[in-house]
Amino acid sequence: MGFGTSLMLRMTIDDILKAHGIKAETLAWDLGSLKGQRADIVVAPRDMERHLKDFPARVVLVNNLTDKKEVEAKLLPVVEELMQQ
Amino acid sequence: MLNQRRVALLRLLLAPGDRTHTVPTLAKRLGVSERLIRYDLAEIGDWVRHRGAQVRHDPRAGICIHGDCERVLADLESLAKSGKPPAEYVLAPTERHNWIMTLLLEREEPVSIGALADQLGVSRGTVYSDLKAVEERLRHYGLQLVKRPREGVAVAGPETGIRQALVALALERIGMDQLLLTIAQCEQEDRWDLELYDLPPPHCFRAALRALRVVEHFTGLSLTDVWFAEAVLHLAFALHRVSRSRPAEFTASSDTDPSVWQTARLLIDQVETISGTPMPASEVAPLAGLLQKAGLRVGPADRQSLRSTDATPLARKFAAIAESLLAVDLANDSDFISALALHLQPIPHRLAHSPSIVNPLLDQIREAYPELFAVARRAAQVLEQAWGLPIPEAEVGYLTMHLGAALERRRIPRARRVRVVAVCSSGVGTARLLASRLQAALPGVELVAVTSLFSLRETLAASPCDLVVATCPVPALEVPVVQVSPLLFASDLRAIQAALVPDDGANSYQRKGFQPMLQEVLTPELIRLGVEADDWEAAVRAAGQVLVENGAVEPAYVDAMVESIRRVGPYIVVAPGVALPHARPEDGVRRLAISMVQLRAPVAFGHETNDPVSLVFALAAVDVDSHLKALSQLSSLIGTPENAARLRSAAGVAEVLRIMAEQIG
Repeated sequence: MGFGTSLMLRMTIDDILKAHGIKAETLAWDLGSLKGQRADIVVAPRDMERHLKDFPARVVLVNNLTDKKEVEAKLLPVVEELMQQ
Repeated sequence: MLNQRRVALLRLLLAPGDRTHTVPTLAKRLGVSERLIRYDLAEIGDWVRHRGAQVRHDPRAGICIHGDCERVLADLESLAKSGKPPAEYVLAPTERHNWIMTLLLEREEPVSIGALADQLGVSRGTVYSDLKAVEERLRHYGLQLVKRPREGVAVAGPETGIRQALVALALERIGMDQLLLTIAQCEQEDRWDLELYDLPPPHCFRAALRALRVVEHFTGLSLTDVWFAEAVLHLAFALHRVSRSRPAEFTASSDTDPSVWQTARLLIDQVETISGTPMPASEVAPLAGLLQKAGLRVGPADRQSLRSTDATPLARKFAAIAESLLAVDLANDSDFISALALHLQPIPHRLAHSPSIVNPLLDQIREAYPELFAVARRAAQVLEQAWGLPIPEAEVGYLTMHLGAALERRRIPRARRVRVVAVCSSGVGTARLLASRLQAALPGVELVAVTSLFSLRETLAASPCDLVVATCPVPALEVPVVQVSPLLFASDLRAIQAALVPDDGANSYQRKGFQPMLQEVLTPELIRLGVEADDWEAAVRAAGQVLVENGAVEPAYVDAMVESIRRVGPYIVVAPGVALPHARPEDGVRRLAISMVQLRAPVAFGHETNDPVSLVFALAAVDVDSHLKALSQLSSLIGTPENAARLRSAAGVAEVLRIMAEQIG
């Protein structure tokens, strides 16, 4: 479980998904507990990129975790793409 | 010229936007071709241009209305309310039929064909063919269209048929979704927002809604949402028509279930009580018919308690508001509702006759529960509205106590009391003081032992417990430890409560425990301004040291924060110029806290885009959810660039607090 940044990011994501009426299960993990988990999309701070190389999911990297606009612009296209599959 | 579809389209474009509209998305949404949408957009463009606005195709933001949207909306509203088809709106044939039908249903005297043709802006021939369709529809409700030479046309038939037709027409026009939404809003804000020419006035709806809620509570009447909404509509029309001297005609009771009949009678009685409009007994039968159709199930009716003015609906309203502000479930807390209702019942009388209520605990309550007090004051507005009386602070204090009791009950599951051991290094004296305060403040806690620091291990072996509460630092144990002042301040109680909540894994985010606000977690003593730091590590340690000095974390926690950044990277630089270092609760957190350090000179964390950092918020969380509210408030605070800039240059702690208060409210 994540306690800080991942939770903050998760709340930003929850707000965005809610605003768009998209239902999704969102979880806040820290890097330590990520291994062995399954997800369609991983949203993470940009500098975690190297730790996520082998994770089997679409990875969305963001710079500002508190910026709904940035997260929205990067996350939504991926969500919509996956929803169409 | 607007029409039904163009109005729908325009509303879509005016709705507070989260989506980007394009011609294809709009076509899909309205189920028409893209060509038609383009054509409609051109017509809408003409219409809004006269109102100081324009339709704009922005490559990024999509299609939207620019300019005086307020005026466009206002005109659109009055278009809906006017009841007269305005010149710039072309009615679709079915809209025209419904409009004629509503007009005829509401009037007793005949309307001439010429007048209808004038009002609708169509030929008499069109009106004649429209009337054929209207006649056909009226027959469904057992009504006739009567043509009187030289006078015009009128509707004839039983009042019950007229009502059914009016309800059906209204429902067709507003839509069930809108009706449900309006009811939900009315229950929260006690305001009826749906005002259209063919609807009864708001007070009728509010009376209907209240009557249904009261009867629902006392009889166990249970209706699905849709039937409930229909019953609201039916009752509102009944009240409206009765007050305009159009009572339902008497019909003998048919094969209606006696308990359904009884419920219908209670409802009509209740509407009469609430509205002050005498409701004839003949109103019972049509309502009973509706309830029967709805498949109503009723429990035993308690007529006696209905007679006394009951404050339960008001208590529920209060609960609904407090619930939304506190993010805890209160509406289903029957203890809370019934205790509050009992408390509320005599208040209007008391306020009216002795305006000076004394609450000897007021100051203590405000100090101990500042956030609850604020919530109680907000929620008390529904009481003020209902009674038309201002609620004094002393009364808000009592309401706060009700909220506090409900929250404490929630924190501690009643099935199993939480076992606590109290520890004090200097002997049993202070521990006893602690023990008595603990038991008074947290009735759900079972104090299994009071012990000294040195005999703690023995005590724990003899009496296992869930939590250790200590007035001094305690070495690491298997069970969580909360360090507190022997006087047990409000912040201590919160820390204990936070520790008492069992961690039930991934979904604990869903659990709505008590979550303090940012100002309660990031308190003045945790703010340091103009701190000198040479590098990122010094900055993180400075913020961590503030937590240590305030007893929120063990010194090891600071090392853990630094270690985590070394291992994973500067991911904790969450926004430009802002870092949020933290470690895990088990790394040495004693209580929930967030410190804030403003650096005199910014330092680099090695973050690609967010360097350099000048604000460091060190977070100490005790579990996964008690800090959620504070964290989300912090997120919106630093997510607003102006605020972040103001925090960076704030010259005093008071200024920081002011910026926080402005953002969070």
